[in-house]
Amino acid sequence: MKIYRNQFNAGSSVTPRARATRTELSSSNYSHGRNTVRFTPTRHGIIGQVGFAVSLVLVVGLVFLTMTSRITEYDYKMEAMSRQVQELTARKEELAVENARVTSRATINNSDLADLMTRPSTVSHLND
Amino acid sequence: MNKKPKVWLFADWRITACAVLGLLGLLAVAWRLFGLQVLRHDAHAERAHAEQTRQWVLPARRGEIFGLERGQLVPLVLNETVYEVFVDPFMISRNGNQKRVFEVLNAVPLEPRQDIRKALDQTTTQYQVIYRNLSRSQAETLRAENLPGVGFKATVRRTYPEQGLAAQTLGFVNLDGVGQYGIEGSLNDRLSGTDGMLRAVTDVNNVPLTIGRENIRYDAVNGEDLVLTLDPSIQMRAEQIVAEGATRAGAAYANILVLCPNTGRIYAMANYPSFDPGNFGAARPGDFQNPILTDAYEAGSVIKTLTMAAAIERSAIRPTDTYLNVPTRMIDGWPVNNFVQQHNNETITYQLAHDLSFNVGTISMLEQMGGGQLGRSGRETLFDFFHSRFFLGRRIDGFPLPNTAGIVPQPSSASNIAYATMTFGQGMSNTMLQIGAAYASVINGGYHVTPQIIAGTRVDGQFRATPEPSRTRVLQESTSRTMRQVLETTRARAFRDWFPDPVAPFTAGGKTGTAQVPVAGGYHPTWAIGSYIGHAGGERPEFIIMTRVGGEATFRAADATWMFNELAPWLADYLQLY
Repeated sequence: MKIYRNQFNAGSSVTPRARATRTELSSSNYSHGRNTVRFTPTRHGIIGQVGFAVSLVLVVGLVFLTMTSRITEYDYKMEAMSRQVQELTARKEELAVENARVTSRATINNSDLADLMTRPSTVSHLND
Repeated sequence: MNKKPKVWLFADWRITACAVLGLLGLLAVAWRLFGLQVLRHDAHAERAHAEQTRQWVLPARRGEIFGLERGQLVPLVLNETVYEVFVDPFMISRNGNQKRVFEVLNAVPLEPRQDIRKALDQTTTQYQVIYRNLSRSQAETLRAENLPGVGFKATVRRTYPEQGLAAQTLGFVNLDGVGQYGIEGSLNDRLSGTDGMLRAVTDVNNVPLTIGRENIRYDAVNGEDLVLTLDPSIQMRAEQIVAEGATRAGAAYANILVLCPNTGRIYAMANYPSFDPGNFGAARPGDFQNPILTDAYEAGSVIKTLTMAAAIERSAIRPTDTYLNVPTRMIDGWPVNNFVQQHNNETITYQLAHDLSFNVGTISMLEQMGGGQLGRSGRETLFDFFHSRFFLGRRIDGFPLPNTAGIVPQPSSASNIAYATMTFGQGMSNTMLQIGAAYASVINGGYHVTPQIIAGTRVDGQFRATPEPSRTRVLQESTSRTMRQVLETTRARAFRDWFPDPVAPFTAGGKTGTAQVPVAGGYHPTWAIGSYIGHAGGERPEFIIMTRVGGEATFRAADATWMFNELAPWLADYLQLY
């Protein structure tokens, strides 16, 4: 990778790197004392490049993890809904059982209302 | 001359040394990573998979059982989720809330499995069951108290809203969830369904995750909901009468069978004694069987109806034909007597013989079927009717409940005396259901219809009926019509002589039976079983009722007839036969 840097005027307070660059330029008899710009590619070493690649991998990995967590969030929602369905099914069953008990023949037969009713002993018909 | 600048890495020996050490370290890490992720990849992947993967059984819901009352489904057996409440005494004592837990649990209006205070005092244990079979709402109320150390376990149990109705037909489910006896036992495969399975990668909370590539899910296949032909109202009334009948007669047992002669549908099978399927542990083992299906017995004179039908079908006799009614006949050296000593040495009609249940009369019918004498021809004819047409001595094919075949001796190996006694229902054994189905074919126009106990299934809340069973003609329509008149005349004579027919104004017919009880070497001198079989409905009879009482005493047909007379008018009203 090449990074182009501006060249500063000689004599100003500069970094050793810039100074080196400026020295190269001076030695090449490029313009001196003129406001000229020359871009020089700056190469990064192997460690820098490895570090950059690792950063890229880390960012991609973070993105992947974020996506996975999103799916997991849906799994939790599914689990909660599944539990809710089970609860409602159990509740529905309980109501069905309660309804069956209340309307059963045994319950009706033994109810207080049935006790108050007269048990018929004979049956007569209109056409008798 | 310019000096070539050194590479900064080698500018100083200390920098170089650090670089080399760093590189060696990185190599070591890389080698370790290589070993873990490449060389031992499979082992670690398998271990990770085993730790992360969980497997659950997705339980199938057991099918429920319904009765059919005027086209409406009535639940007979349902599933109910109940809860077991347990405590962790160790945790509770560590939290110091024993008093609070005791107060809350003691307030539950149920009998605890053990003393609550003693259970909480067992602080070296972590699992003590306090309550079983709590309803969902009771468990939710306890759960709302949010007591650490109190846990709940859900189970599904069978519940019987009709409280033991038709117990021997329904059967029960044991503690392992397997059906026993009755419909629960015979159709356990259809009712139990098939469990499913879920195998999935989970997180630390055991929540199944969909990201696993090897997840497997088989959904459970729930059991079928079955609809029986039993009418709960008829069943209940029959059970009331059978209990009254047995008590009234002082009988050890009594039974009532109600079925439709036209469709074969069984409306009721009531037995005394019975048991509570919700508390099967308290029952006697003998009570689980359904005697109407499994108890083959010598039914006695109710079989005379079948003998007469066979003779009429063969054009061997007509009801108005006559014979000489002697009080005793000797056959193969054995005396056969009439139970009723009337019209001795008189020429009477076969109708009267049927009315007064003369044994000698039915032997005469057998003789006529054999061309005028007792012999192989008559035996084979009678066997053809009893076994091939009336299905006596044969298990009912396709009937889902266990049923006994009974015994009808082969004509080739039986003697004349054996077949002579068979004409009045002794020397052969059959179940009430077999006799009821045979009687149905005599009065329903001459068709054999296989008895039915399964009316259909319930799918998505809707009733789906099974196809109507096939009908096989076994008698001519004219024979059936004649036999209906014979039976109605028989019943009319009985009730004309003694008291008004309780079934009036409905047209009813029927036949009594009093049979000796076989014991080793012969028959008991005093024990007898009383039976009655009858129908009502006129030209198209709508129901058949067969009743039986027995025990270690003499029981007459009158004891069985009482049950018929109590049930038939109620049933005629219920079915709106007028």
